[in-house]
Amino acid sequence: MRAPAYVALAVATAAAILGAVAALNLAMDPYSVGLGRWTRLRSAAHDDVADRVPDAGTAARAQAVARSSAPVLLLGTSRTQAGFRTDPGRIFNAGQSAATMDDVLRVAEAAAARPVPPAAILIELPQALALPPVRRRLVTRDWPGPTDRLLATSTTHVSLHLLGHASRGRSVVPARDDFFLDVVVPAALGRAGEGRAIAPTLPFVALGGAPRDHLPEALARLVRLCVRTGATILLYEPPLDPARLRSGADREAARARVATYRLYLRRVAQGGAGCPIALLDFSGLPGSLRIPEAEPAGAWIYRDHFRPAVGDILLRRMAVDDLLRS
Amino acid sequence: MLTYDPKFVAFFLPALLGAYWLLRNRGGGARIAVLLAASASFYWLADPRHAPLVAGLVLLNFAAGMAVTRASGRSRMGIAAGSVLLNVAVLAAYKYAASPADLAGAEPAAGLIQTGLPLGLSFFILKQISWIADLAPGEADPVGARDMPRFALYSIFFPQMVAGPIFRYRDAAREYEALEKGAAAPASLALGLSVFAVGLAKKLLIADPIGGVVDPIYAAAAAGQALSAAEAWVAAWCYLIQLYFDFSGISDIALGIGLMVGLRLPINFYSPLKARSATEYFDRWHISLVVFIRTYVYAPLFRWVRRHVGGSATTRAVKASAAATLLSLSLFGWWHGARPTYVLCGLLGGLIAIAYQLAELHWPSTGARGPARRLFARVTVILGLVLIGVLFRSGTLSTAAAVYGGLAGLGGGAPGGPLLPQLAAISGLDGILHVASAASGAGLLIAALGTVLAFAAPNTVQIFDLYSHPGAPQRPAASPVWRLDAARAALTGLLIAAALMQGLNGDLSATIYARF
Repeated sequence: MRAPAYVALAVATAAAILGAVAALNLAMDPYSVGLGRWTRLRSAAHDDVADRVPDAGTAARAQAVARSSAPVLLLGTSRTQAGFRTDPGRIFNAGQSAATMDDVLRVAEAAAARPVPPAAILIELPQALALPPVRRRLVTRDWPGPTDRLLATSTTHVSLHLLGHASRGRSVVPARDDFFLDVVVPAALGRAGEGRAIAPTLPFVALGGAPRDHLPEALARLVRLCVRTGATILLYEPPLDPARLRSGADREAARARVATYRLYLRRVAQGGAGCPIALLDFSGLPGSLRIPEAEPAGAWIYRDHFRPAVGDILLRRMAVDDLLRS
Repeated sequence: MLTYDPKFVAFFLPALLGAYWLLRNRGGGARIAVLLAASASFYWLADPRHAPLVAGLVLLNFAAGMAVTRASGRSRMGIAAGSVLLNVAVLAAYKYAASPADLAGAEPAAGLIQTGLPLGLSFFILKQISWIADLAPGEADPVGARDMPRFALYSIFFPQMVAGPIFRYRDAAREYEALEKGAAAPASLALGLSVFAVGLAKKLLIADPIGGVVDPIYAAAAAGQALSAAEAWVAAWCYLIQLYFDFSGISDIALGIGLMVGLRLPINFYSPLKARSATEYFDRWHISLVVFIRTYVYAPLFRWVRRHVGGSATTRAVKASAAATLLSLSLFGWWHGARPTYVLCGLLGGLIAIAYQLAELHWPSTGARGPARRLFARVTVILGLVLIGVLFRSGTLSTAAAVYGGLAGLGGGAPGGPLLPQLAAISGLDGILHVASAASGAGLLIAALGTVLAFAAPNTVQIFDLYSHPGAPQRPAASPVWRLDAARAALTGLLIAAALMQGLNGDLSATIYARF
C-alpha cells in the first residue's frame, strides 16, 4: 500500500468513526445531558478533598452532598466554587461551573433527602436564563442543532443513554428522556407530538426557556423543599466585578435578573406557599447591599470570579454563623 | 494546549502538516521556518507567560555557543562553564524557589499548565546545556548567524517541549542537517501517524483512566485517611502502570510528530518493566535523560573519582562506579524537583543500582542463569519500582508514609477498605463503557490491561521498527519490519478516533512529566 493511501485511509477511518458517534449522539442525546463526570469516586472521606479532585458533574455533586452532614450548603456556579473556601464539615461548597437552575435544584434536592437536611441553603442566582437568538429558535423547535457540547463526541453519551434505558432505577445512571425514541421515531411514524422530547428538568430548558417558562416551577420546587425540610433558603446575587460594573449592558442584565427573580419570588409567595425565601442582592448596583471589599480589581480572579476573601465577607453578610448557631 | 489535546489533533497538527507538506520542496530553509513558526505558536498557546523567558534563553545560549566555538583554550572552557551555570541557575530558580509569576502574585494564564514553572523547562534547559557542552570540546565547526534558525528549532521543537525526549545536540545536529538537506518521504508521514496514534492511545485510553483509580486513593492518604493493604497496593501498582503509559505515550506522540515532518527524535522507552536488573532498567526508562546524565555527569564523575581513589584497577573502578551512580541518580531525583520525595527517590534509586552492581560483581551473570534467579531479579526490580513510585507520586513524606503503612498492612480498617468496594461497584458495564479519566471502575480494568501490555506486548520501537532512531538499542536480527497495509491504516484511524473521543469526554489531565 502506498503511503498517501495509508494516511488517507487512516484519517478517513478516524473521521468516519467520529462522525458516526457524533450522529448517534445527536440522535440519542442531542442536549449533551450525559456529558459530565458522574462516576467520580466519592466517599465522605473524599468530600473534603473535592476541590483537589476536579469534577464537573451534577450527579457527582448530588452524591457528595447527600453523604455530607454539613449544616450549610453553598450552591451556584464557578463563582461559588472558586469564591468560597470553607470547612466542608460546616459549609459544603457544591458550586459547579456553568451550573443552571436545574443543576442547583438537583443538588439541593439531594441534600434535602438526607436524614438530617441542611439548616441553610445559600444559592447564587443562576445567571444564564437565555440562549443566543439563533439557538433559542432551534430550542423552541425542540432541536438545538449541533452545539459545541455535542461536538464532544463520546462513548459517554451513548452508553449512558442506553444504560439509563436498560436499567431504569437500578443503575447509578439516571434514565433520561430520549429524543430519538420520543421524537424522531414518532415523527417518522407520523405520530409527532405524542412523546414529550425533553422533560422540564433538563438543563436546556433552564438555559433556553424564557423565565416565565421556568422560574415559577423552579422556585416552587425550592419552596416545597423549604417546607419539607425547614431549611432556610437564601438566594443571592453575587458582586459584579469592576469591569462589569462599568459596563452598561452588564449592569442592566444584572438588574433585570434580580428584578425577574424578585418578581417570581413574590408570585410564589402570593401563592401561599408558606416558606419565605430571601433574596439578597450584593451586585454593587444602586440599591444593593454593598461589599466594599469586592470593589478593588485585586479582589477578582479572571473575570467574574471573586476571591475567597470576598466570599468570607459574603458569608458574614448572610449571617451564616448565626445560621450555624441556630 | 498540549500535544494530546483534541484541539491540537483536530486543528493545529493538520494545519502544520498541511503547511509543511505544501512547502516541503521549497528547500531546507522553508521547512525549518514552518516548524519554527509552529513551535513558537505552540509555545505561545500553551504557556504565553513564559515565552519571553524561553526566547531570551534561546538567544543567550546561541550567542554563548557562537562564542564557545570561536574562543580557544581556557577562555572557551570559561564561557562554556559560565553558560552551563547560568542555565542551571535558571532551572534551579524555577524549580527550587518560587517562580517570578508566583512571587508577583499573578494568576496563571489560561493554559493547561497551572503552575509557575514554564512548560517543559527542565527538558528545554538540558538541551541548552547539551548544546554548550557538545560545542565546548572544540570539535564542532564555528557557529554563525545562519545557524540560528536551526538552533532555535532544536531548542523549542514543540513535540519535545512538553516532556522530552531530550535531544543531545551531537545527535540532533545530524538529524536537523538531514532535515535541511532533504524533505521527509511520504512513508515517514504514514509511519509517524501510526506512532502518533499509539502514543495518543497510551496517554488517553490507558494512562488517564488509570488515574481515576490512583488519584482518589492518594487524595485520601493525603487527607489523613488510613489505607487498607488492598487499597495501597492497588494505588501503588496502578501508578506504576499509569506513569509508564503516560510518559511513554507522550514520548511516542513526540516521536510520531517528528517522523511526520521527517525528524528522527530519540527513543525514550524500551519496555522498562521487562528489565531484569536495575542497570537494565536504566537502559530502558527515560533513556534520553539517562543518556544525558551518563554523558555529561556520570562519565566525567567516573573518570574523576577513578583518578583520585586508591586501590587496584578493579577496586578503583568499583568505587568510581558506585560514587558516580549514587551522585548521578541523586541528581536524577533533584532534577524532578526539590520536593523531599523526589530527592529520596533519586537517592533510593542510586542505592538500589549500587546494590545490583555489587551483586553482579559477586555473582557474575552468565547466559545460563537459573529461572529462580531470573525471577528473583525481575521481582526485586518491579518491587523497587513500586516502592519508589509511591515516593514519586506522593506530594509529601507523610502521604508516602501513609501509603507505605497501607502496603505493610499497618493502615488498619476493613481489609478491603472503604474505597475498593466503591471501585468494584462501578466496575460494571457503566464503568466499562464510560471510559473517562474519572471512571475508576474502568480504570481498574484498564490497569489490568496495561499491566499485560507493559509486561508482554512489544514496544513502539519493536512494532514500528524504529531502531534507526538515536538512543534505540541495536536492531535484533529477527525484528519484524513495519509495513503499510489497509488493516494497519484502519487500526491507526480507530486509535485516533477512540483517543479523541476519550479526550473530549471531560477535562484533560496534564501529563505527569509536563510539570518537570
